[in-house]
Amino acid sequence: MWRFPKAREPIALMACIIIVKDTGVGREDSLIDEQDAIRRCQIGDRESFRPIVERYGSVLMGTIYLMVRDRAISEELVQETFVRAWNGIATFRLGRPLKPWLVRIAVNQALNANARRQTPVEPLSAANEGGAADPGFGQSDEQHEVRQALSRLSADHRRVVVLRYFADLSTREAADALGIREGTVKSRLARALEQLREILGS
Amino acid sequence: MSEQHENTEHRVREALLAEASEAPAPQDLWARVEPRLERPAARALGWLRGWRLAVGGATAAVVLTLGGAGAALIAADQFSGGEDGALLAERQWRGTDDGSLGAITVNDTDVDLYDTDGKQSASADSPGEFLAYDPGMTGEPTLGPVPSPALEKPSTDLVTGQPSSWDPQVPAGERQVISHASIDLEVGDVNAASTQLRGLVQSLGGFVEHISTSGGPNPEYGSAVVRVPSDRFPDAIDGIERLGKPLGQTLGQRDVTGEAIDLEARLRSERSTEESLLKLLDRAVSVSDVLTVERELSRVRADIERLQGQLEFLQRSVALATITVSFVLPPGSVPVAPSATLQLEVEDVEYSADLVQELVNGAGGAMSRVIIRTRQDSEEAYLSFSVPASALHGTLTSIAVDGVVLHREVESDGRLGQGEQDEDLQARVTVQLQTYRDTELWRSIWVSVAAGLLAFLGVAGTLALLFRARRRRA
Repeated sequence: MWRFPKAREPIALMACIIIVKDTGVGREDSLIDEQDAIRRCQIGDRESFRPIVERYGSVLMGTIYLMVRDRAISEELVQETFVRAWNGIATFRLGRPLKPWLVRIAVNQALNANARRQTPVEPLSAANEGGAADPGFGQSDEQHEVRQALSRLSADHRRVVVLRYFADLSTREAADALGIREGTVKSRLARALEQLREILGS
Repeated sequence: MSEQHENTEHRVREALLAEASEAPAPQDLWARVEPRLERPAARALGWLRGWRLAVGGATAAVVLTLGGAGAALIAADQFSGGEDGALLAERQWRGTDDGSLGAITVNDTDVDLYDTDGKQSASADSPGEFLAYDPGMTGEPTLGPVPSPALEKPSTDLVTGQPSSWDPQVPAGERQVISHASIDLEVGDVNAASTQLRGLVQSLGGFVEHISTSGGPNPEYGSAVVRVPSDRFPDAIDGIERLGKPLGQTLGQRDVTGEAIDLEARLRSERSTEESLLKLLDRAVSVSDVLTVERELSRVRADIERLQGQLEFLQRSVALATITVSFVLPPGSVPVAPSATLQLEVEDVEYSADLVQELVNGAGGAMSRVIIRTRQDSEEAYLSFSVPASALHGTLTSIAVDGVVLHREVESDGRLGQGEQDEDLQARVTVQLQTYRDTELWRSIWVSVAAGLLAFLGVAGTLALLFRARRRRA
């Protein structure tokens, strides 16, 4: 619990805010709002958590769904993710991006859920092969092809791809979220793309 | 290649997005999440950790310590103030002759109460000591002011009786010395010792001036004043010391040569005055002359008689040495009246004092003194009484039940309740009652805790306000 540098953070944050405001760096407005909301959450203001839930709900839901592939479970897990985020927000270090932190919690939820279910995460491909998926539902054939290709990736590769291209994390953040080295993320990404190209190109 | 690469990435993104859109985030996500979030109070508790907890804890500890110490100081101040606090009132009773208590004095000081008693008992117990210490106070006819030479000049040697060389006028054999001694003896039988003493003194040519025993048919204590011729003084002391076991003795000699010479000189001069007056009387013619001379003559004759008396007394004192003898039985052979001291802390001093008196009356004892002192925030009571020795322990135990015993002391020869004569023995008991210090201590502790808590709340509130203000500014 004891982290020495934290003692200076509120002051540092105030300094940052003043500098940012004074220099008129407009792009950071949402970031400032977000950090402010986090700080309020840290002292127990529940209402300030609402914009965070609303902003990141979709991303987390999608990330979890892409890993778990069960809508009901995903809905439950995304709620659980936010509850855990709220519980742990006091330990969140202000000034850092929030999304990677949230995604990391979500990934942990998803991995735990998969481990609990103990079923291979291939229901989509199986369903698709059985023709249950509806390709004509506003989706092109080409998209369908890619989805099928993606579903053939191994779970490790698929996870990396989801974090990088859906959750839009950097390789470093993805590595953080998965608890692996950045190099591993990069190599897995490269191999996954190669695999996809092979499948799609063939 | 790069184009193809980017293309693949793009297609992957689109495909993932499409797949994720199959399971959009629930519209009511916040509504579902919110009830599951911890309460703000719990959140605040969660917030209060890490450096905040450390700083807060340290502050609280410091404040509590300071507050407690301050309050303790205040309490201690009150405490000691109570100790030295002004005496507000003192009521005092003394036992009357028939053993009942009567309100006698109301005093605002307590200096001389016990002293008076102590002196009386001392003088009553040992009259002989006064004789031994100062023969001049035996109540004999006064010698008048002692002439200074006798006091200021070196006295004769106590051992040899030889005069010092300061007064060559007086030959050694003619020195006038009064000898006195006081001897304490431990004897097995006081009566037998007294008889022996009488025989010894008579055989030495002296006499017994005074003898007394006390303590019934088997006296525990005896004292005698005997006179022996000065030249037999050393023999007398030796003989007396053989009567028992000497516990202590005092020997003293006083050179009264100067006094005697002075008296003789004054006597001679008065006698010559008398002769002159007698001659004058023979030649007197008028009645008034005769009357005047006779008046003067009678004054001179009175002086002569007085001086002669003094001189005779001095000579007698010189001729007969005084020896004071006390006899006591060996320690332990006499049942000693037990005494006890009890110091108690009680809830209500006056109530307990009443209780003690009731107990004493119930046990057949008699109160001899009750003093109740009221101070600013405490009360004290001193009770002294006597109870039959056989009831001593019961009484003490009954009294002790009423409070917390601070001090208890029973002095006896260890034979309590063994002999029949214990019934006659009266044990002297002193009981001191005082207000519970304990309650005061607890009060001061509570005051400290409350003060510390208040201080802590104050500081915590201020900190909270500061935090709020800063949050608003931020």
